[in-house]
Amino acid sequence: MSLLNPLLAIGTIAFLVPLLIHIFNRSRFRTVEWGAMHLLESVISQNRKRLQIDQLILLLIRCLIPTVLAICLARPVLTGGGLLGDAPVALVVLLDNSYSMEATDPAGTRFTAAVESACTVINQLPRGSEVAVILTGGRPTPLFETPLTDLATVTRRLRQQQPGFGASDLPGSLDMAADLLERMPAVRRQLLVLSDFQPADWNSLSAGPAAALQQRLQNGSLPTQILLLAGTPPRPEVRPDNITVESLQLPQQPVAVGQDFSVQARLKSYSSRDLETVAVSLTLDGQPVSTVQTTLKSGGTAEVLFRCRSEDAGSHVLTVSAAVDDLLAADNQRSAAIDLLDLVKVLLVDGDPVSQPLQSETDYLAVALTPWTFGRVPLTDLLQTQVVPPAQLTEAALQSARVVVLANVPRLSDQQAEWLTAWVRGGGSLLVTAGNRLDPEWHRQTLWNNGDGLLPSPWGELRGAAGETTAAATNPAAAPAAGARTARIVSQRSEHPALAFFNDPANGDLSTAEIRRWHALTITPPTSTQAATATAATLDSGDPLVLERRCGDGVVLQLATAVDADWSDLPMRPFYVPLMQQLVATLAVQIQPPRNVATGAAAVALFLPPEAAAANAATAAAAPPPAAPSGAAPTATATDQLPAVTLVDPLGQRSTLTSRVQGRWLAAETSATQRPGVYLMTLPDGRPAHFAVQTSSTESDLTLLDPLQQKSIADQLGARLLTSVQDYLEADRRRRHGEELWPWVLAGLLFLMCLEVVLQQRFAGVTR
Amino acid sequence: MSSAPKVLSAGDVSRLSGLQLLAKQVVEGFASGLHRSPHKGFSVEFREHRPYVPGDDLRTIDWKLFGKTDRLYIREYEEETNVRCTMLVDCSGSMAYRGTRSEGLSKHDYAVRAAACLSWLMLQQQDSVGLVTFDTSIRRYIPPRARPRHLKHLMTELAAQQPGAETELADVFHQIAARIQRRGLVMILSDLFGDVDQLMKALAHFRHARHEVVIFQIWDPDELDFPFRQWTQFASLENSSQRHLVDPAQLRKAYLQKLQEYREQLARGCSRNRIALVPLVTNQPPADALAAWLAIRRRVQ
Repeated sequence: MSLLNPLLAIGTIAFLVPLLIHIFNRSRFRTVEWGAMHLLESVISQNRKRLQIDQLILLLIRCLIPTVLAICLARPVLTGGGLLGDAPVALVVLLDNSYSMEATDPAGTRFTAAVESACTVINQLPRGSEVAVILTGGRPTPLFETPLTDLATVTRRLRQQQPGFGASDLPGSLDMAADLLERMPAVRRQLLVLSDFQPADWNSLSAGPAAALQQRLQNGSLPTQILLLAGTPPRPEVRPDNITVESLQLPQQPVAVGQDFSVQARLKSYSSRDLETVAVSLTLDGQPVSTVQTTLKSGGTAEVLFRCRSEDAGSHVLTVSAAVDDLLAADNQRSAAIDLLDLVKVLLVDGDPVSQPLQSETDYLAVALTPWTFGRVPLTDLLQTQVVPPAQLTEAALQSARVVVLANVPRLSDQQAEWLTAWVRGGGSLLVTAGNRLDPEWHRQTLWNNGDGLLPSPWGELRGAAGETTAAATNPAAAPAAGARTARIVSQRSEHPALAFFNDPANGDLSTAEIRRWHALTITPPTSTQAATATAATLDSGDPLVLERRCGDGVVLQLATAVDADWSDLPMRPFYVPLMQQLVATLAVQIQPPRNVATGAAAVALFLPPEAAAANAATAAAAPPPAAPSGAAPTATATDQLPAVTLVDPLGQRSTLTSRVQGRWLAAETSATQRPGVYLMTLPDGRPAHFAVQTSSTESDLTLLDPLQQKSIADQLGARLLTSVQDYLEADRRRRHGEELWPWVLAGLLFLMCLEVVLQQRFAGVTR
Repeated sequence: MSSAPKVLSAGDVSRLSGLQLLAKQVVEGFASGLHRSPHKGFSVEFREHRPYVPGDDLRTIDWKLFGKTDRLYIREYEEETNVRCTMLVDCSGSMAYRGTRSEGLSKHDYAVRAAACLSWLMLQQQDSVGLVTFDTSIRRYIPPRARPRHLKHLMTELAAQQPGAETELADVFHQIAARIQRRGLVMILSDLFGDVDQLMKALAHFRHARHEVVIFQIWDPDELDFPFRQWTQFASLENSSQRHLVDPAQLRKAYLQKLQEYREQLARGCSRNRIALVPLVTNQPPADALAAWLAIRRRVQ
């Protein structure tokens, strides 16, 4: 309590005035010689006590009136503790810009309301206050690099913000806010959290971290006031109406132009009503493909399957949208990016060429890789094969191929080996398969080279039964060394992208195949400069069947047995076609980073430098190979002039990314993917690369924490829960400046005056 | 008559001259006047004959009737009598109260003037008037006389009285009742401040002696509306040790209530004993008040 006009408080001694008047009146009495004493005396004796009390009350009120008047004039101000006045404030605003904030309440979107609340609070800050804003959606992101004192800029920037980012990372945001606050110098420190209080966001803030955070913020040298501002209080009886496209499932295997592929969309309802007809449509690059009607029960899910194809190679965007009218429109559609491959050129180097059909080493493989072409079906194959003898393995042939298969190749010339090594290290993919004709010694020395070469492992001893049907006569030296037995592929869950396809038993059972002969492959521990070797599949004998190792920017797969029917009955099995397709296609596209990423994850596009691309185009046009080896070109030429890549984010804002050299590729990367949606990179050659940034669909559940739960969170954080920013501002103004009490005192004064009149008349027995 | 103007102004006399006081009841009297006496005596108005009984005055025998009937009859006449009025004037301390609205008259002064008016009136109509002044005890007793010279005597006595000591009305009334032998009209001029029950017993004593009683209760306006505002010390006129310093504004309501109770009690008592109670307020001229009362009285008759 303090007084604005303390001098006027001296006026309180005016309480003496009524007292003096009273005493004066009593002393200035007049004497009346009274006759009717017998009447008066009984009245006095009956009322003496009451008269005294009445007089005392009246005197008290009369003394109070000037006292209260003096207090009123002195303008008392109610203050709790020390007044901070207009001391600068360090304010950190945590603004939830997840896409659930786009939900429309009667007053507008939750986000607009939150931004307006934040702006109101910021505009009321004293001069010299510092403000930092952290956007919590997706990944905690500061809006400014350093806290700003220019409040107008802060509010302007805040009003430019758009919601639609991924789920909030509250623990991370709060940590970041605590770091920021610790660096801010102001004495008064406040943390304002503006959120819609979705359980998914806040439940990640468990009791332990919350208590630690509270400890950190409240018990530091400068304690922080934490304010939680919830938007519209949720109505618990009404479940918010919302439908979301929860996920999109694209084909696992690479898809080429002209190929049909399926897109599976999963819809989830957070609505309290059943929807009989929901129109779900698929668009490809904005062009409608098909529309499907489905029903969606309250709280249930529905799956919709689309078929789709495109004749254009390159990056495409698939968007599935559900036509419903609900609170949150942002999650009614979901996009995914797919890269349709042009024909993948596969160079099959046949080490055992035979002119008879299906007797050559690569005949089965070529059929398996291009089944439609062989079957004369008017469908497009992903792969395009070219079979060459080992002698025709030239550098030009290598440059035009995406995948090279060395099938039962005995040996290569040193020049060929050198070309091949450079091509693989520059990003090529190589599959090496065994066979009766290969020269293990040459392979060991040249291709394995103690782990520094291309092969993941040297070819070991031959194992299995001597059941070779065609090659046994021609090569008697290749007799079985171990016992006459066969092996089968161990049926287990595989993490390898090529073999993961067979985790689904419907796609074929690998263990049914009989492997009769194979080379024992041993994995040697890699040295510090060598990449680790991974086993993609093993045999039940314990020997690895498929080994994989990265080599430079490329990758090498090593198959312990032959790809034709000589050493196994793999080609006779129904899964041979998908297996080989998977192996080769995975090799072909493995170098491309994923196009569908989570919010906050890096989106990376790899592309060839323009010169290499031109060279590729030249070789593809069957032109003579260029003189300069283009594989090594970018490192030499592009370091001083790396091409730029434009990035367009989901809001249509453009930015430019600088590329960096990665092997024989250039890579453009961005991590500014907090906002879910489709990002478009335009590569230097004009090709687009789409990235679909996905976020968790938990934000779509618009059920909010009820006030009790909010209160419990506020208690955990030691925070104050605000329901309206106006309440807070009023309380804050009082806290800073105190509350003037004179209107109340004046009301009290008027009351006392009325009371005095009423009591006086009542005591005097005047009735009107 | 030299002292008479002190208590009876010329205006008072002229205002009362046309009025005739008629007693409500027949009282004993021997002076002829407007009052009929129950005693049969010598008069012009014949009343009845009755048989002679030994002991009757021989002068009252109707000898003419004896000649006609040869029997002895007594001839009786209606007699007109005078009223024997005794005025009781209170000289107690409480009668000394002198308010601001009564033109400087104390209640006692007012009582004296009213008594003078009444005396003059009664003597004018040949009634006899007596006077008793009293406070704690009877101060002076002047028996009733009808002679005109008696007025001067009464006036002198009234003018000489000053209010003083404490009263105990009931005791004094008992004494007075014992002193007044013959029944007549008793007029009491007093404020009647005292215990009502005791007072009523004393007044009943008068009635028992078959007196007609008229009470002129003298009030000062201040006593009726208690107009005091500022702090006041009320000192008793009868007992100088009784003093009360009070804020009269706070007491007014209770006082007026008490006054009302007292007056009602008194009125009830008087009505029960068939006593006329006439309040007189000192801010009215005494003659006016009396004239008004007499007019009422005549209508009743």
